[in-house]
Amino acid sequence: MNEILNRREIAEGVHFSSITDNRYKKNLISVIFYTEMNENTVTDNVIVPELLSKCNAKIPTYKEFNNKMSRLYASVVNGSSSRQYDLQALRLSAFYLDDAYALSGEKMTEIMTDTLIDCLTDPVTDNGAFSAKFTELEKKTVIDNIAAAINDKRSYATDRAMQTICSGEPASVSAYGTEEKAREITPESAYKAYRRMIESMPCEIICVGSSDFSGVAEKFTEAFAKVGRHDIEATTIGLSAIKDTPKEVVERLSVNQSKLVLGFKSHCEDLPALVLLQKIYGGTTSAKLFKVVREKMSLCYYCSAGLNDLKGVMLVNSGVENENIEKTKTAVIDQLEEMKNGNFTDEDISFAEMNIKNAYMGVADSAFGVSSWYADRILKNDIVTPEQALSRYLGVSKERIIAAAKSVMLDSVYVLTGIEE
Amino acid sequence: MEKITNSRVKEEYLRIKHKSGATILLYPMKGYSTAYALFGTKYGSVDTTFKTDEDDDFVTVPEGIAHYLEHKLFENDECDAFDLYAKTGANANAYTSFDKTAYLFSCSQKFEENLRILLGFVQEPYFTDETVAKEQGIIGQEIRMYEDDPGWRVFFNCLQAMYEKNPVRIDIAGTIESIAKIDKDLLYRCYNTFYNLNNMVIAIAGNFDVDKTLEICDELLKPSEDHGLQVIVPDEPITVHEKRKVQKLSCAIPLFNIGWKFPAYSGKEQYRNFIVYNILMELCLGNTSDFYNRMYESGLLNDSFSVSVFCGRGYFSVIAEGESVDPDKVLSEMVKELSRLKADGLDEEEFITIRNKTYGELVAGLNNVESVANSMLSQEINGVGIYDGIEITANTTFEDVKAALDYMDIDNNSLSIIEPVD
Repeated sequence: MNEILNRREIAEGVHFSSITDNRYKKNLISVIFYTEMNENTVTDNVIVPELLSKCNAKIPTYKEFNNKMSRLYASVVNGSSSRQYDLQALRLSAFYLDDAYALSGEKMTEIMTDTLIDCLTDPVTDNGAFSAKFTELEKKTVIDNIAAAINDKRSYATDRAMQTICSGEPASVSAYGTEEKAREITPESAYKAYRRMIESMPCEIICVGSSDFSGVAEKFTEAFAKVGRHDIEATTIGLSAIKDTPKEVVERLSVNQSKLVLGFKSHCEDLPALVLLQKIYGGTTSAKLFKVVREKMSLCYYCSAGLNDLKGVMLVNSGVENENIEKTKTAVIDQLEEMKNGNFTDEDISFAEMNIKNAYMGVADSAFGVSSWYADRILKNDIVTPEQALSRYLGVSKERIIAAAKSVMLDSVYVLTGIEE
Repeated sequence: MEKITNSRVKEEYLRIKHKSGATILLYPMKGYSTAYALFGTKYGSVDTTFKTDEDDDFVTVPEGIAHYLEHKLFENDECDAFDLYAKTGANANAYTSFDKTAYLFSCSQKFEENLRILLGFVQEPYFTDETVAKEQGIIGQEIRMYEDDPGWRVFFNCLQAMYEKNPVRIDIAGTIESIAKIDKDLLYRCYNTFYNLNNMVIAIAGNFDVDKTLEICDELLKPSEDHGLQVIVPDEPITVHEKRKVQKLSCAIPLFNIGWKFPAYSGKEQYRNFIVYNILMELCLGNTSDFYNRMYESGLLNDSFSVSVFCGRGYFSVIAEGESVDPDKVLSEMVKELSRLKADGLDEEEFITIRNKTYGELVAGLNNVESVANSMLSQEINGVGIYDGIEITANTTFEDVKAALDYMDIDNNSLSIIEPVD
């Protein structure tokens, strides 16, 4: 299926893909490096995209760099780090107006490709390490980001729950690592992480936009040839082991509303059936969790299920009063039992199909949607278009969904609740 | 039917004053798979005291009722709107803001069926004592969720510090106590007052057929008489209500909002000021400014910092938000910097950069089905059009921005801080 993306290897472990679609006014070039999540290296890795995205040796100050991007019609170079299944994804991307709309005829794709490559391969360094000044600044950014995770209680609870659910696996490592590790970052340790990234981590370059991206692959090929790629790291993603007995964890914090996260697992190989199960159980506003736990029992504002398919983990999230934790947990488990017992209709299945169809058919309306879709399909080692993927979800029988439901086991329960008086 | 065009972006859309009283905005976008439709009313959390020609006196309703009504409108006597949308696969939702309530769907299939659902349920209220009571638990948990959100609290505390009487100071969802006072009769009164089609807008963008859409509107929109709606906006002092407001919550680094209070504007004047002050604040304090880079390098600000205009019916302010170990110091540095720029003058070249950036962002916004539909609704409710921003930005001069800084009362500010619990 490589022809969809025109995906090809342009340097050892570096793949280049592009999709041209005239509906967009802006182009998106994403460069993504992957490495296994590891608590010892995650934080040094996190600082790398921060350091690379804000300036480079040719434009060596933040102010100058921001000014240049503003002048180029609000172009953006963005650096980020995230957890994708068992992997850490380090991303540097450029998002900019296409050449066709540049008021002064600037060759936007050429300029932004050069800028992105300069950021990637020619950062501000000092004696074989990153600049001490910028490292200190971005170290503070990383520490602040780690600390600020607590501000969003729902995602904080999910992250903490994953530590229990996938205990001992790379996916349990917090996306940014710990504050303690961040304080140990030095210009040298960050630079070492950068060299490892640019030389040895598998890399995907994905371009989406109205540009034909001519010349872009050649520029990246030349840039990576100078880098000298070697010893490309192997990356694997594995299903999460199911615990013999569900583990329960309670964390206390000064909060008004308790957060409840239930981690279920399945090693079912019938993925389409598992996806439909998740939709009917808790993936839409006509799902059992929404209809029963929220609407009928009035226990919460949100209660939904999400599927991490490559890990075989289904997470149910809710925010409830402390005294309703047990009642909600029982209701969530009961609704899964309903699925196992086949208490859902053919209409429910067709609603789930329609929901998937609606989402998949809209993917192509945004460059970010297309880029994320194919980045994920590449990780799944299954490069298909949304239309091709959709065909797998149509016509899944009720029996297959029941079988998938029966494979789902409760693995862990995480509760974030208020401090006892 | 009015065709609204813009020569800069070479695009157009239709604005129709429908015989039912509703205003319909249609922006077909070639090449897109999805359509995004909104059915909105000019009714938000600030509309707490009102009457129509049919009422003898003004009524003041409990805080949070516009949002409560939004939740309840999804249900009718047989099922709820989500059940209907489930059959089409559309992604449906609704939201209530300070000055509007909107019901929406996005779909890549069965557009006309979805439009029928949207126009149907929004025009068919069905409230009973039982269904109203049931929502208390759900909205109660929504309120509790926001109580734990430091980003939300720091913003509302800032509004409460700036505004003494304007209902913009109250939380959109109300409080556990205020929503307990809501019953079906109050909901019907609010519905009948604000969900009159003369007060409503339909905005659709993306992949849909204009003729078929208008046929469905003709068939389903129930003609409404304009019933002379009046909403009281309390007189608000020009100066801020409180200078400083502090709350403690679970967070790691203190969060702050610094709000500068201005007199309220309306219509095109409001939009012009919105753009001029956004450019001015970006120029003085944004990420290309000396101020931001100095503060970032000193560690007093991190990249969560931003500054923007917050305005609507009866309120206009500029709010700077971020995280800092010392928000008081951030405020004093900002006041010092704004005063310096007022005395020494702004940089014209930097102004042009920021103006171009603003222009680029507005043009790029027309690239997205969802943002076009939302923007059409918001601008219509504020009495302007979706292209007005592009024209205002293109015509904003350095003199305009200098005059805005001269006019600004730098000391008329409130500081809201969320500190970590001990």
